[in-house]
Amino acid sequence: MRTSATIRLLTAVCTALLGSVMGSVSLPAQAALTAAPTPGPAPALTQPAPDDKSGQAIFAAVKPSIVQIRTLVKGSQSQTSIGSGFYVSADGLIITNFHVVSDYALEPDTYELKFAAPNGEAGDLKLLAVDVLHDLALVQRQGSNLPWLRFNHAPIGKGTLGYALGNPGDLGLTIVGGTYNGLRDHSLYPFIHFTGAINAGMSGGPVVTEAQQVFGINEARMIDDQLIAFLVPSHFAEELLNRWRARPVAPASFEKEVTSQLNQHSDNLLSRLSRSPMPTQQVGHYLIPDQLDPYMRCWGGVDRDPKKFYQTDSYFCEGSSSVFVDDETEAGSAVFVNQIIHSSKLDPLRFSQLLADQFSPAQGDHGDAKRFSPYACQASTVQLRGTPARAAMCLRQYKLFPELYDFTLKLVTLKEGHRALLSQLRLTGVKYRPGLAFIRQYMNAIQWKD
Amino acid sequence: MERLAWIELLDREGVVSQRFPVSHWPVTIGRAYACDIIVDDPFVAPRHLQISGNADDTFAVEDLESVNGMHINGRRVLNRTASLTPDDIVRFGHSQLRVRHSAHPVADETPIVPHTWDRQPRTLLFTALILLCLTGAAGFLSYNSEDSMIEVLTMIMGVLSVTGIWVSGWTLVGRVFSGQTHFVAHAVIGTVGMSVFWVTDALLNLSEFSFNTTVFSDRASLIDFITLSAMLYFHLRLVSRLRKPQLGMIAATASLLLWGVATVTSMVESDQNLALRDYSTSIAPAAMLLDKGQSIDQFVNGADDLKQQVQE
Repeated sequence: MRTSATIRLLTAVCTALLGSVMGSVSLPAQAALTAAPTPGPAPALTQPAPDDKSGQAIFAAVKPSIVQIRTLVKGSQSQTSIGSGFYVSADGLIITNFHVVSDYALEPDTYELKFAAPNGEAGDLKLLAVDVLHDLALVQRQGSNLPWLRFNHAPIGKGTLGYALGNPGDLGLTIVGGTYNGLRDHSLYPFIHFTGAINAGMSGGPVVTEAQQVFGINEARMIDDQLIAFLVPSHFAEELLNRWRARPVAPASFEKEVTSQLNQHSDNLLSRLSRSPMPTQQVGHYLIPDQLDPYMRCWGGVDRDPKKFYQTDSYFCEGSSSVFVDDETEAGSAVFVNQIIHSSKLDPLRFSQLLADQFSPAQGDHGDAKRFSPYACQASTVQLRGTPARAAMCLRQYKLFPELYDFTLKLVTLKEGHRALLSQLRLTGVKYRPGLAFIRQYMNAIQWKD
Repeated sequence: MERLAWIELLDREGVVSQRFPVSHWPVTIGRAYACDIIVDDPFVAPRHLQISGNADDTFAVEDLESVNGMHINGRRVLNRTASLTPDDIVRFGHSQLRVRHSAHPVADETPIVPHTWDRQPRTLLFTALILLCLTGAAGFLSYNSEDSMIEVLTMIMGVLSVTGIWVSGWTLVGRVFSGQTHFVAHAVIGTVGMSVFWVTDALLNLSEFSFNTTVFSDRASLIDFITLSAMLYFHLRLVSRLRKPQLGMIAATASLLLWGVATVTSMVESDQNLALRDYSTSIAPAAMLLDKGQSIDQFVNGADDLKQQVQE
């Protein structure tokens, strides 16, 4: 089963990418505790800080500016998730990640937001503004003369040392040394690639230079890799703060605010992907969609299992684009896989049966009735350019964001009795019309060439 | 001793429960030990009836002054005496009897006829071979790697075992309820029915592909229902003595029930699994394509219907 192994490997990379955002940092304290690798009394000292002395100095200077942000079930003392944040003004404005406050933003009647400062202060937080696309949120606590952090404006290059602060797994405030490694490739929105041990619970904490100025905000990590973490570049936080200062009015409903930002994300994604005509590459007799934007990347793989009576060549394109909505939902991504299946051993009848098996929908996990409608599907014979094909399209709607849909398209060409193109496209969290327009472009790009 | 006649005591269903030979007339019937025939029925008088033969092949019955009297063919006899033909039934107390001459004619013997299909093991050979070929062909179609051989064999064995269990089930039912197994007949019905399921399934699948429509396959469950009803009807005919319309009703009701259960199960299934994506996956060689299908624009615009569906 080398095909599926290849696909699985590629999907695994993809899942790791998605997972890195999902598995970032706002985990329940219990889970984070059991997952914490070194539950020691002084984790800051166990970290490989490049210069202990300056690390201590930085920790001492920055520590008073960090708060832990807790989401609690309303009217109880039980926290459902924890993250970090830092003061950006003397009057208690705090920057954190959107995913730290998303439960509260989407269900303010169920949850409440609290903070806990290192000096023992604790209290309520008010949500002021969100930037879903860059995973940022601005909240405020009561207070004055708070020790706030400045944003870094000095140029930094690969190799610059940085210090990430936060509360990993509710184990206490931690400082982690690491290295700035530029912006990550293959991401729709810019994120900083930071090499350092950032863990669940540190989300929303600052990453500072040796001059104690914030250049990034802890956001996510790669699950199966070592020390690869992603930071939100600080200028997005600065812009969010400046927007708030220019117009200090919190939206009446964050659900609506999130909805409109997700719609914006769909527009951003599809305007980046839409090309007329769509770039293609030729594989055998077929033209298939190729890398559509620098943020995307494409892989190829072959399956030549001698036990199988057919061979598969796979071409897989994806990129990191989806944004966090809640623990179970990400929105705004495009992935496509094109496979040439060919066989010299199978007769046309058995070959078409093989195609029918491959054409069947993958039965994955059960849907979530709270978040999605059931799928509705259609299948038909379709005349692509130069070849007839069977095509199936499925659609489901996001319940909380009714303008957003997931699309899946699967098609298989019927030109030859021993070779076929199996093409699969998946769009998640996109608006209906633009999503459909993209599917039309995609189908028009596929072509048979003699 | 010459047998003049038989007196037959009948149970409530009218079936003979006891039979007494008569060698002299008159015969007295009652609870008393002095009677010729003793009936242990508390509603019968010690001396209840006296029966004697007439010259003209009929019999005379006399009520010996009982309290409860006697009924002939359900009608109370007010006279003390009455005359009986061999088909009249006399009720006295809670018992009943009839009287028949030794020369009373009986019907010819019913020949033991094996079921038509039972005489044709060759028919079974033929139908079983068809089923085997169909299953084998389906298995062969999905044999696309050396590793899939085991799945193919499992599938074929599965179909054959289901058929086997079905047939032996009916054979057992037949053995219990009618005393006759009719193995060959049940096996013919089972194999033919299974083959019909296979063939309709394959044809409906092909129709989805060739005509690019699901109008036929949407009625697959109706066709399966008819097939199953027919199978049940023929099986039931072999195992029961009910009349044809009753059998038809039972067969239809039973398969309707099964069909209902299947429908509800699949509804529950799709209700529980929202991620279920259901569409026609049938694909055949391009030569079978009889409908040109849609243009890309037509296909893409079809999504508007899907949007309607998910918004409901």
